[in-house]
Amino acid sequence: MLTAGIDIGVENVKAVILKDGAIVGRGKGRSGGVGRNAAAEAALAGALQEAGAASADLSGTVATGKGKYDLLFADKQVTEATAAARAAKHLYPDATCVMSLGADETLVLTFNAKDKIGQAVLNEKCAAGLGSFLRKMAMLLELTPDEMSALPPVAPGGATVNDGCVVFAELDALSLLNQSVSSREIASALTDAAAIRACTVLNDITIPMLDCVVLLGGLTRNHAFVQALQTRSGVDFTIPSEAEYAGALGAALVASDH
Amino acid sequence: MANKGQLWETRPLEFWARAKELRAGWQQSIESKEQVVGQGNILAIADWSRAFPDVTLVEDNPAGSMIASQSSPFARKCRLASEIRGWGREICGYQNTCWGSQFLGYQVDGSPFPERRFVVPLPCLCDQHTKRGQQVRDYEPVPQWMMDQCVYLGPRDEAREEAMIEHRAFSMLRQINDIERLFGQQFDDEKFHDLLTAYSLVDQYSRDISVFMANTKPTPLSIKDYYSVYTLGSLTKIDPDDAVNFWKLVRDEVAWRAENQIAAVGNERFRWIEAHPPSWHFLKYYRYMEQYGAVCLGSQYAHRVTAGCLERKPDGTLDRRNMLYYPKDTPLVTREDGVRICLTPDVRYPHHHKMDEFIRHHALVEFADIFQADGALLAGWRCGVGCTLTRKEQAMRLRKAGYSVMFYEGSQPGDRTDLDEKRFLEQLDTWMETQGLEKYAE
Repeated sequence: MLTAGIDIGVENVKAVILKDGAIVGRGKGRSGGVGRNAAAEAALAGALQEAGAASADLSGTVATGKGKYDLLFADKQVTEATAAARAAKHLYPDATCVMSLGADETLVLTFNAKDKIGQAVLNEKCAAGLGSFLRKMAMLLELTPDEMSALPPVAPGGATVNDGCVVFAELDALSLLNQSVSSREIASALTDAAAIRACTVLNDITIPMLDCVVLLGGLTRNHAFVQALQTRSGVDFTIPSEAEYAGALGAALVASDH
Repeated sequence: MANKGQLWETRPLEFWARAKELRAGWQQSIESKEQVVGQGNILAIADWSRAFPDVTLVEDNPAGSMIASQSSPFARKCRLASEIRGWGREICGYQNTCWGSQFLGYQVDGSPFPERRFVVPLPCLCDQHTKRGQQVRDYEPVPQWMMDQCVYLGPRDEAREEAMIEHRAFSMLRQINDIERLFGQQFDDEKFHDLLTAYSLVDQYSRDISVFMANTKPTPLSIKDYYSVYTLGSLTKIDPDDAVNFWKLVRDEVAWRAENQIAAVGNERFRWIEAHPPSWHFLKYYRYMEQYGAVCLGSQYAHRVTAGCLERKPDGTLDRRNMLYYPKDTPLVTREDGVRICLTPDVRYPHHHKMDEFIRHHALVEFADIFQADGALLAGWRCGVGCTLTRKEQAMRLRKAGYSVMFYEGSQPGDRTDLDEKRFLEQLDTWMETQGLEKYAE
């Protein structure tokens, strides 16, 4: 049985084709703003091509992500929480917690003794859009995603920016630029500030559920950010190779369930 | 009426018609030109101003909320009018909206803003409530009477509470004397005592309603409906006899619904509590949650305003938490007696949801337990109401006690500027899905 999962986020759309619990096709593209449905169709087409299948072969398509209701062809929509939980448990049955970091939303889930979702914590507005923020800051500082990912940690006594609000952080970054601080140092400071904001979501988990925290979402590609998050939180995250596609994987698994 | 996934019978509430009449009457009363209209926030058993022949107190909470609810563009104008006079965004939205309308000089319907001739700001230390009087006085130098809000932490101390009541009683007696002197109005002590007696009945009826809501599954009354009427007789001041009759009407209907399992939400399968007033302009989230079979039982705020706080008694029944009434067992004879009784509940709420940073952590868990809740939806307000203080700690305790918790954020219940309605509904979707609930099919 072939099923499709589509995660249409604020910035990117990811599609996954699943066969017997294994990913056989992936597709990806920009989510396209008002053209989300077309962007999702394109990503799905790419995933189907990789899987060597056609849309008629699919027994179900489930959408997740911020744009999930913009898809005209999905059979069902599930929240990002459901998709993340489903993917994490599929990849790591012993997972106790999931942290999902996207362009827009940071989400933390815990699992209870029955492997159902226990607690769900979403970011506050002040911690919204971390992925988008770092991308925009990279553009401002003229750094590529790879360069952002390879940034060193903030050095002791190095530049810092406001870690309570991305608007303030951006203003601080501009101020540092005016002081001739290097782009890389500013970028490290911004990355660290974003990690601190992400930690505020993780900090809401009071029960000792941090034994096996699976980290998912597009921001996992930014190694400097992940390193800063690990340092700030003290959590040793488990990151699957499919982390970026986890939302789509979870959606495809839900499609299989149905 | 059938709900999707209906589990119980549900019916429209019959007290609605009377509630609408009383609401319309209140609107008419505050527009009267014949009376001395003051801005007052009275957190007391009875509206003591009614013991004057011609004094009306208007609260800014409902006025500000109604503006925000009726017209977003006008509410924004009001906020701007207030902000350009130096009243920042951290000021309670009830005030900025209501008093912005005063600064503009007209109300949402275009009619002139009623003149306030004196101010009695809410004596509440939780946030900027005490600034309310100043905002009115910025407009016109009217008399203002402030009351101290006495609080203390730690174990109950009855001697201290009596001293606190005495301190405040002195302030209130002075207010009454000053209003008599300045406006030539005679305070009628007999009427004042009648008011207290009447409102003790309102108190009793509202307590019963809270108990029915807490004890009965499915709940006979949702907070969405309760919020529509719960200020009648308190924040929206009406004739005391009307208030007593109305609350009896509500109590009797709720009792009948409880007895006959007439549900507020016919598909109730998830009960949640809150700690705050909601975003008054966006009450439709309650309806949205009904798609999941979720019903809100209310907040500490709502049940405190009406019924006080409940606790489980040794025999297993629910009743109001014991409070110190001063002077104990003393007959109501003098004005001073009445003033003391009037002020007692405000001295230290027995289960205070705002001020006591120790009690409030535990209180919300107990509240969830009493109302047989499955979860809690907590607001992170940017300003006003003050209750957001320690909200995160409350969430931690709730989670530890096994309740699921979801947050949403906004400016303040009477201010619509910061509430992202779409995001809020998405958060509710996430909350419900993580509880294993799906919307009933269309």
